[in-house]
Amino acid sequence: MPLTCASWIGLVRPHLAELLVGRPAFDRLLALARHLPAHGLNVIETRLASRSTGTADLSLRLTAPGQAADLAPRLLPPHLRTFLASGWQELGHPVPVAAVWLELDLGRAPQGLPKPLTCARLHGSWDAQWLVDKLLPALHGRPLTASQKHWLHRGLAELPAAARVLYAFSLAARPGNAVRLEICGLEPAAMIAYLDRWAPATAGRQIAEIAPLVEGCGRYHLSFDVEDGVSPRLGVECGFERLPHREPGWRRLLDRLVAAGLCDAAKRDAVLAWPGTDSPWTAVARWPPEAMGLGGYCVRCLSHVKLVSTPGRPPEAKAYLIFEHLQRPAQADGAPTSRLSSSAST
Amino acid sequence: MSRFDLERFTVDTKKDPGMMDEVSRLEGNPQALVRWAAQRGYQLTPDEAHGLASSVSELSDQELENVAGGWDGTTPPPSGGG
Repeated sequence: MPLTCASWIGLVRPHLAELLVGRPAFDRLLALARHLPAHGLNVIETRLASRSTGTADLSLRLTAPGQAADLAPRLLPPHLRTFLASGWQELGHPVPVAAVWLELDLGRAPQGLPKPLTCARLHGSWDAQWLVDKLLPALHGRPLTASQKHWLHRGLAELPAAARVLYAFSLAARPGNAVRLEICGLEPAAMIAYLDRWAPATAGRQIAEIAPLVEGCGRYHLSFDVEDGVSPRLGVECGFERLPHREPGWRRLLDRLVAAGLCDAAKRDAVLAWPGTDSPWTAVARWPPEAMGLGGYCVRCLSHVKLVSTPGRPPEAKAYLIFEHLQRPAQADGAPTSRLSSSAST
Repeated sequence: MSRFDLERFTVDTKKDPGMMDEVSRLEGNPQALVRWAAQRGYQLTPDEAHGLASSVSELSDQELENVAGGWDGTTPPPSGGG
Protein backbone atom coordinates (compact mmCIF):
# COMPACT_ATOMS: atom_id res chain seq x y z
CA MET A 1 0.00 0.00 0.00
CA PRO A 2 1.48 3.40 -0.90
CA LEU A 3 2.26 5.81 1.89
CA THR A 4 -0.35 8.59 1.87
CA CYS A 5 -1.98 10.92 4.32
CA ALA A 6 -4.46 8.09 4.97
CA SER A 7 -1.62 6.08 6.55
CA TRP A 8 -1.34 8.68 9.30
CA ILE A 9 -5.08 9.17 9.69
CA GLY A 10 -5.38 5.44 10.34
CA LEU A 11 -2.68 5.73 12.97
CA VAL A 12 -4.28 8.61 14.86
CA ARG A 13 -7.80 7.15 14.68
CA PRO A 14 -7.84 5.86 18.30
CA HIS A 15 -7.11 9.39 19.52
CA LEU A 16 -9.86 10.93 17.43
CA ALA A 17 -13.01 10.53 19.48
CA GLU A 18 -16.05 9.46 17.49
CA LEU A 19 -18.05 12.38 18.79
CA LEU A 20 -15.50 14.70 17.14
CA VAL A 21 -15.36 12.78 13.88
CA GLY A 22 -18.22 10.32 13.49
CA ARG A 23 -17.83 7.05 11.64
CA PRO A 24 -19.24 8.20 8.27
CA ALA A 25 -17.13 11.39 8.44
CA PHE A 26 -14.04 9.39 9.34
CA ASP A 27 -14.59 7.00 6.43
CA ARG A 28 -14.86 10.01 4.08
CA LEU A 29 -11.76 11.56 5.61
CA LEU A 30 -9.85 8.34 5.09
CA ALA A 31 -11.01 7.97 1.49
CA LEU A 32 -10.02 11.55 0.71
CA ALA A 33 -6.66 11.21 2.46
CA ARG A 34 -5.68 8.38 0.09
CA HIS A 35 -5.40 11.10 -2.57
CA LEU A 36 -3.19 13.33 -0.43
CA PRO A 37 0.56 13.24 0.17
CA ALA A 38 1.93 11.64 3.31
CA HIS A 39 4.43 14.38 3.99
CA GLY A 40 3.19 17.62 5.40
CA LEU A 41 1.12 19.14 8.08
CA ASN A 42 -2.57 18.28 8.22
CA VAL A 43 -5.41 19.79 10.18
CA ILE A 44 -8.78 18.29 11.02
CA GLU A 45 -11.52 20.83 11.66
CA THR A 46 -14.24 19.66 14.02
CA ARG A 47 -17.38 21.39 15.25
CA LEU A 48 -17.84 21.63 18.99
CA ALA A 49 -21.58 22.19 19.42
CA SER A 50 -23.62 19.33 20.84
CA ARG A 51 -25.92 19.35 17.84
CA SER A 52 -23.04 18.82 15.40
CA THR A 53 -22.81 15.14 14.61
CA GLY A 54 -19.14 14.50 14.21
CA THR A 55 -18.54 16.04 10.80
CA ALA A 56 -15.01 17.11 9.88
CA ASP A 57 -12.97 18.88 7.22
CA LEU A 58 -9.33 18.32 6.32
CA SER A 59 -6.56 20.76 5.36
CA LEU A 60 -3.01 20.23 4.23
CA ARG A 61 -0.06 22.53 3.90
CA LEU A 62 2.16 22.62 0.81
CA THR A 63 5.47 24.29 1.47
CA ALA A 64 7.14 23.36 -1.79
CA PRO A 65 5.83 22.99 -5.33
CA GLY A 66 7.02 19.37 -5.46
CA GLN A 67 4.50 18.40 -2.82
CA ALA A 68 1.68 19.25 -5.18
CA ALA A 69 2.95 16.56 -7.55
CA ASP A 70 1.79 13.95 -5.02
CA LEU A 71 -1.75 15.28 -5.13
CA ALA A 72 -4.33 13.54 -7.22
CA PRO A 73 -4.71 15.85 -10.25
CA ARG A 74 -8.46 15.50 -10.13
CA LEU A 75 -8.50 17.27 -6.78
CA LEU A 76 -7.37 20.50 -8.38
CA PRO A 77 -9.14 22.80 -10.81
CA PRO A 78 -6.97 23.73 -13.84
CA HIS A 79 -5.91 27.15 -12.56
CA LEU A 80 -4.64 25.62 -9.32
CA ARG A 81 -2.81 22.86 -11.13
CA THR A 82 -0.95 25.51 -13.11
CA PHE A 83 -0.38 27.68 -10.07
CA LEU A 84 1.05 24.87 -7.98
CA ALA A 85 3.03 23.28 -10.79
CA SER A 86 4.74 26.58 -11.54
CA GLY A 87 5.81 26.85 -7.94
CA TRP A 88 3.68 29.95 -7.63
CA GLN A 89 6.37 31.73 -9.67
CA GLU A 90 3.74 33.77 -11.47
CA LEU A 91 3.49 35.85 -8.32
CA GLY A 92 6.93 37.36 -8.78
CA HIS A 93 10.29 36.84 -7.19
CA PRO A 94 11.03 36.59 -4.36
CA VAL A 95 7.54 35.28 -3.68
CA PRO A 96 6.18 36.47 -0.34
CA VAL A 97 4.24 33.22 0.07
CA ALA A 98 5.62 30.78 2.63
CA ALA A 99 3.09 28.04 2.02
CA VAL A 100 -0.14 27.22 0.26
CA TRP A 101 -2.92 25.50 2.15
CA LEU A 102 -5.62 23.37 0.57
CA GLU A 103 -8.75 22.99 2.63
CA LEU A 104 -11.19 20.28 1.75
CA ASP A 105 -14.73 20.82 2.97
CA LEU A 106 -16.06 17.31 3.35
CA GLY A 107 -19.27 18.54 4.92
CA ARG A 108 -20.09 20.57 1.83
CA ALA A 109 -19.35 17.80 -0.66
CA PRO A 110 -21.38 14.75 0.32
CA GLN A 111 -20.18 12.78 -2.72
CA GLY A 112 -16.82 12.46 -4.43
CA LEU A 113 -13.73 14.57 -3.93
CA PRO A 114 -14.35 18.14 -2.82
CA LYS A 115 -12.71 21.04 -4.62
CA PRO A 116 -10.20 22.66 -2.28
CA LEU A 117 -10.34 26.12 -0.82
CA THR A 118 -6.93 27.68 -1.28
CA CYS A 119 -5.03 29.86 1.07
CA ALA A 120 -1.61 31.50 0.90
CA ARG A 121 0.45 32.08 4.01
CA LEU A 122 2.13 35.46 3.53
CA HIS A 123 5.53 36.48 4.74
CA GLY A 124 8.07 39.13 3.90
CA SER A 125 7.13 42.34 2.23
CA TRP A 126 4.33 42.86 -0.28
CA ASP A 127 1.84 45.60 -1.03
CA ALA A 128 -1.94 45.78 -1.21
CA GLN A 129 -1.94 46.07 -4.99
CA TRP A 130 -0.04 42.80 -5.34
CA LEU A 131 -2.38 41.03 -2.93
CA VAL A 132 -5.53 42.26 -4.66
CA ASP A 133 -4.40 42.13 -8.28
CA LYS A 134 -2.04 39.15 -8.31
CA LEU A 135 -2.19 36.76 -5.40
CA LEU A 136 -5.94 36.56 -4.83
CA PRO A 137 -6.83 36.24 -8.54
CA ALA A 138 -4.19 33.49 -8.89
CA LEU A 139 -5.77 31.55 -6.02
CA HIS A 140 -9.29 32.39 -7.16
CA GLY A 141 -8.89 31.50 -10.82
CA ARG A 142 -10.40 34.79 -11.97
CA PRO A 143 -9.99 38.52 -11.36
CA LEU A 144 -11.67 40.05 -8.36
CA THR A 145 -14.69 42.28 -8.85
CA ALA A 146 -14.45 46.05 -8.49
CA SER A 147 -16.42 45.81 -5.26
CA GLN A 148 -14.08 43.19 -3.82
CA LYS A 149 -11.06 45.30 -4.70
CA HIS A 150 -12.63 48.35 -3.10
CA TRP A 151 -13.41 46.63 0.19
CA LEU A 152 -10.11 44.80 0.37
CA HIS A 153 -8.20 48.04 -0.16
CA ARG A 154 -10.33 49.69 2.54
CA GLY A 155 -9.60 46.91 4.99
CA LEU A 156 -5.90 46.85 4.20
CA ALA A 157 -5.55 50.62 4.44
CA GLU A 158 -7.10 50.68 7.90
CA LEU A 159 -4.88 47.97 9.35
CA PRO A 160 -3.08 49.22 12.46
CA ALA A 161 0.70 49.04 12.50
CA ALA A 162 0.61 46.12 14.95
CA ALA A 163 -1.50 43.99 12.64
CA ARG A 164 -0.66 42.14 9.46
CA VAL A 165 -2.34 39.87 6.96
CA LEU A 166 -1.23 36.34 7.61
CA TYR A 167 -3.44 34.36 5.24
CA ALA A 168 -5.27 35.22 2.02
CA PHE A 169 -7.96 32.81 0.82
CA SER A 170 -10.03 32.08 -2.19
CA LEU A 171 -13.37 30.53 -1.26
CA ALA A 172 -14.18 29.87 -4.92
CA ALA A 173 -14.76 26.20 -4.12
CA ARG A 174 -17.92 27.25 -2.28
CA PRO A 175 -21.05 28.80 -3.72
CA GLY A 176 -20.52 32.52 -4.27
CA ASN A 177 -17.40 34.44 -5.10
CA ALA A 178 -15.86 35.28 -1.74
CA VAL A 179 -12.24 35.81 -0.78
CA ARG A 180 -11.02 35.98 2.80
CA LEU A 181 -8.29 37.71 4.77
CA GLU A 182 -7.01 36.49 8.12
CA ILE A 183 -5.32 39.13 10.24
CA CYS A 184 -2.99 38.59 13.19
CA GLY A 185 -1.74 41.01 15.81
CA LEU A 186 -5.09 42.34 17.08
CA GLU A 187 -6.65 41.52 20.43
CA PRO A 188 -10.47 41.63 20.49
CA ALA A 189 -10.67 45.29 21.60
CA ALA A 190 -8.38 46.26 18.74
CA MET A 191 -10.41 44.12 16.31
CA ILE A 192 -13.53 46.07 17.27
CA ALA A 193 -11.78 49.43 16.81
CA TYR A 194 -10.39 48.26 13.46
CA LEU A 195 -13.74 47.06 12.13
CA ASP A 196 -15.56 50.14 13.42
CA ARG A 197 -13.35 52.29 11.18
CA TRP A 198 -14.39 50.71 7.90
CA ALA A 199 -16.61 47.61 8.08
CA PRO A 200 -20.41 47.39 8.44
CA ALA A 201 -21.69 48.71 11.78
CA THR A 202 -22.68 45.25 13.00
CA ALA A 203 -19.14 43.86 12.68
CA GLY A 204 -17.69 45.48 15.79
CA ARG A 205 -20.74 44.43 17.82
CA GLN A 206 -20.30 40.84 16.67
CA ILE A 207 -16.72 40.77 17.92
CA ALA A 208 -17.81 42.44 21.16
CA GLU A 209 -20.22 39.56 21.69
CA ILE A 210 -17.44 37.00 21.23
CA ALA A 211 -14.76 38.87 23.20
CA PRO A 212 -15.72 37.67 26.70
CA LEU A 213 -15.64 34.07 25.50
CA VAL A 214 -12.07 34.30 24.25
CA GLU A 215 -10.67 36.50 26.99
CA GLY A 216 -7.18 35.62 28.21
CA CYS A 217 -6.02 33.75 25.12
CA GLY A 218 -2.41 34.00 24.07
CA ARG A 219 -3.03 34.70 20.40
CA TYR A 220 -5.85 35.95 18.25
CA HIS A 221 -6.67 36.18 14.58
CA LEU A 222 -9.57 37.94 12.87
CA SER A 223 -10.95 36.66 9.58
CA PHE A 224 -13.51 38.26 7.30
CA ASP A 225 -14.88 37.48 3.85
CA VAL A 226 -15.31 39.93 1.00
CA GLU A 227 -17.78 39.30 -1.78
CA ASP A 228 -20.04 42.20 -2.87
CA GLY A 229 -19.11 43.84 0.42
CA VAL A 230 -17.76 42.64 3.74
CA SER A 231 -19.65 39.52 4.68
CA PRO A 232 -21.49 39.58 8.01
CA ARG A 233 -19.84 36.26 8.82
CA LEU A 234 -16.73 36.92 10.92
CA GLY A 235 -14.24 34.59 12.55
CA VAL A 236 -12.08 34.95 15.63
CA GLU A 237 -9.33 32.35 16.00
CA CYS A 238 -7.63 31.99 19.35
CA GLY A 239 -5.30 29.71 21.22
CA PHE A 240 -2.08 29.31 23.14
CA GLU A 241 1.49 28.49 22.36
CA ARG A 242 1.74 25.68 24.88
CA LEU A 243 -0.01 22.33 24.91
CA PRO A 244 -3.12 21.91 27.07
CA HIS A 245 -1.35 19.94 29.80
CA ARG A 246 1.05 22.88 30.27
CA GLU A 247 -1.43 25.66 29.59
CA PRO A 248 -4.62 25.78 31.71
CA GLY A 249 -5.97 28.55 29.50
CA TRP A 250 -7.11 25.94 26.96
CA ARG A 251 -9.38 24.36 29.53
CA ARG A 252 -10.68 27.74 30.72
CA LEU A 253 -11.45 28.74 27.13
CA LEU A 254 -13.33 25.54 26.41
CA ASP A 255 -15.11 25.65 29.78
CA ARG A 256 -16.46 29.08 28.87
CA LEU A 257 -17.70 27.73 25.55
CA VAL A 258 -19.38 24.82 27.34
CA ALA A 259 -21.03 27.22 29.80
CA ALA A 260 -22.24 29.34 26.88
CA GLY A 261 -23.79 26.29 25.24
CA LEU A 262 -21.39 26.46 22.28
CA CYS A 263 -19.36 23.34 23.07
CA ASP A 264 -20.36 19.89 24.21
CA ALA A 265 -18.58 18.95 27.45
CA ALA A 266 -17.53 15.55 26.13
CA LYS A 267 -16.14 17.19 22.98
CA ARG A 268 -14.15 19.59 25.17
CA ASP A 269 -12.58 16.62 26.91
CA ALA A 270 -11.87 14.87 23.63
CA VAL A 271 -10.21 17.97 22.18
CA LEU A 272 -8.03 18.40 25.26
CA ALA A 273 -7.03 14.74 25.06
CA TRP A 274 -5.94 14.95 21.42
CA PRO A 275 -2.31 16.15 21.76
CA GLY A 276 0.40 13.50 21.96
CA THR A 277 2.83 11.44 19.95
CA ASP A 278 2.95 8.00 18.38
CA SER A 279 6.08 6.24 17.19
CA PRO A 280 7.02 2.69 16.17
CA TRP A 281 7.86 2.16 19.83
CA THR A 282 4.58 3.34 21.28
CA ALA A 283 2.24 2.11 18.57
CA VAL A 284 4.02 -0.68 16.76
CA ALA A 285 0.80 -2.57 16.03
CA ARG A 286 -0.76 0.50 14.40
CA TRP A 287 2.29 2.08 12.83
CA PRO A 288 1.71 1.95 9.05
CA PRO A 289 3.80 -0.92 7.63
CA GLU A 290 4.50 1.25 4.59
CA ALA A 291 6.08 3.84 6.93
CA MET A 292 8.15 1.44 9.01
CA GLY A 293 11.35 2.43 7.26
CA LEU A 294 10.70 6.08 7.97
CA GLY A 295 10.29 5.72 11.67
CA GLY A 296 10.06 9.07 13.33
CA TYR A 297 6.99 10.32 15.12
CA CYS A 298 3.39 11.13 14.34
CA VAL A 299 2.64 14.21 16.36
CA ARG A 300 -0.80 15.46 17.38
CA CYS A 301 -1.28 19.05 18.52
CA LEU A 302 -4.19 21.31 19.31
CA SER A 303 -3.86 24.26 16.98
CA HIS A 304 -6.61 26.69 17.85
CA VAL A 305 -10.28 27.28 18.47
CA LYS A 306 -12.37 29.39 16.15
CA LEU A 307 -15.61 31.21 16.85
CA VAL A 308 -17.68 32.11 13.81
CA SER A 309 -20.16 34.93 14.27
CA THR A 310 -23.21 35.48 12.09
CA PRO A 311 -25.71 38.21 13.07
CA GLY A 312 -28.82 36.87 14.74
CA ARG A 313 -27.31 33.47 15.48
CA PRO A 314 -25.21 32.13 18.33
CA PRO A 315 -21.51 31.88 17.50
CA GLU A 316 -20.31 28.54 16.16
CA ALA A 317 -17.26 27.01 17.86
CA LYS A 318 -14.73 24.79 16.08
CA ALA A 319 -11.45 23.19 17.05
CA TYR A 320 -8.47 22.52 14.79
CA LEU A 321 -6.50 19.34 15.39
CA ILE A 322 -3.07 18.98 13.85
CA PHE A 323 -1.29 15.79 12.92
CA GLU A 324 2.05 15.50 11.19
CA HIS A 325 4.78 12.96 10.64
CA LEU A 326 8.15 14.24 11.81
CA GLN A 327 11.66 12.98 11.92
CA ARG A 328 14.69 13.99 13.88
CA PRO A 329 17.59 14.56 11.53
CA ALA A 330 20.56 12.35 12.41
CA GLN A 331 23.95 13.95 12.88
CA ALA A 332 26.92 12.83 10.82
CA ASP A 333 28.15 10.58 13.65
CA GLY A 334 24.82 8.81 13.76
CA ALA A 335 23.59 10.45 16.96
CA PRO A 336 20.26 12.20 16.73
CA THR A 337 20.10 15.93 17.17
CA SER A 338 17.65 17.41 19.60
CA ARG A 339 16.05 19.61 17.00
CA LEU A 340 13.02 18.25 15.21
CA SER A 341 12.56 18.73 11.54
CA SER A 342 9.28 18.22 9.81
CA SER A 343 9.25 15.88 6.86
CA ALA A 344 7.87 18.91 5.05
CA SER A 345 10.00 21.84 6.03
CA THR A 346 8.35 25.16 6.63
CA MET B 1 10.20 -9.73 11.24
CA SER B 2 6.46 -10.29 11.42
CA ARG B 3 4.31 -7.61 12.99
CA PHE B 4 3.81 -9.94 15.96
CA ASP B 5 7.56 -10.43 16.45
CA LEU B 6 8.16 -6.73 16.03
CA GLU B 7 5.64 -6.06 18.75
CA ARG B 8 7.34 -8.64 20.94
CA PHE B 9 10.68 -6.92 20.40
CA THR B 10 9.36 -3.48 21.36
CA VAL B 11 7.46 -4.82 24.37
CA ASP B 12 10.44 -6.83 25.61
CA THR B 13 12.76 -3.87 25.15
CA LYS B 14 10.50 -1.44 26.97
CA LYS B 15 10.12 -3.90 29.86
CA ASP B 16 13.86 -4.28 30.34
CA PRO B 17 15.70 -1.09 31.32
CA GLY B 18 19.01 -2.65 30.30
CA MET B 19 17.75 -3.41 26.81
CA MET B 20 16.17 0.02 26.57
CA ASP B 21 19.45 1.69 27.54
CA GLU B 22 21.27 -0.30 24.91
CA VAL B 23 18.71 0.51 22.22
CA SER B 24 18.82 4.19 23.20
CA ARG B 25 22.57 4.10 22.72
CA LEU B 26 21.95 2.84 19.20
CA GLU B 27 19.46 5.57 18.31
CA GLY B 28 20.22 6.80 14.82
CA ASN B 29 22.29 3.70 13.99
CA PRO B 30 20.02 1.11 12.37
CA GLN B 31 22.78 -1.25 11.23
CA ALA B 32 24.05 -1.58 14.78
CA LEU B 33 20.50 -2.14 16.00
CA VAL B 34 20.02 -4.99 13.48
CA ARG B 35 23.21 -6.68 14.74
CA TRP B 36 22.39 -6.12 18.40
CA ALA B 37 18.84 -7.45 18.03
CA ALA B 38 20.02 -10.48 16.06
CA GLN B 39 22.36 -11.43 18.90
CA ARG B 40 19.27 -11.60 21.12
CA GLY B 41 17.13 -13.59 18.70
CA TYR B 42 15.17 -10.78 17.08
CA GLN B 43 15.51 -10.61 13.32
CA LEU B 44 14.85 -7.00 12.39
CA THR B 45 14.68 -6.00 8.75
CA PRO B 46 16.72 -2.93 7.77
CA ASP B 47 13.48 -0.96 7.40
CA GLU B 48 12.28 -1.95 10.83
CA ALA B 49 15.62 -1.16 12.39
CA HIS B 50 15.69 2.18 10.68
CA GLY B 51 12.21 3.02 11.90
CA LEU B 52 12.96 1.96 15.46
CA ALA B 53 16.40 3.53 15.61
CA SER B 54 15.03 6.86 14.48
CA SER B 55 12.45 7.16 17.20
CA VAL B 56 13.84 5.68 20.40
CA SER B 57 13.69 8.78 22.52
CA GLU B 58 10.49 10.57 23.40
CA LEU B 59 9.80 14.07 22.19
CA SER B 60 9.87 16.83 24.73
CA ASP B 61 6.92 19.13 25.32
CA GLN B 62 8.97 21.92 23.84
CA GLU B 63 9.58 19.91 20.67
CA LEU B 64 5.89 19.13 20.40
CA GLU B 65 4.97 22.76 20.87
CA ASN B 66 7.50 23.80 18.26
CA VAL B 67 5.81 21.50 15.80
CA ALA B 68 2.97 23.64 16.30
CA GLY B 69 2.47 23.49 12.75
CA GLY B 70 0.20 24.62 15.27
CA TRP B 71 1.46 28.06 15.41
CA ASP B 72 4.40 27.54 13.10
CA GLY B 73 6.56 29.09 15.73
CA THR B 74 4.50 32.22 15.38
CA THR B 75 1.44 31.42 13.37
CA PRO B 76 -1.32 28.82 13.46
CA PRO B 77 -2.84 27.15 10.43
CA PRO B 78 -5.60 29.06 8.70
CA SER B 79 -9.26 28.41 9.39
CA GLY B 80 -11.00 28.04 6.10
CA GLY B 81 -14.13 26.49 7.48
CA GLY B 82 -16.83 28.84 8.50
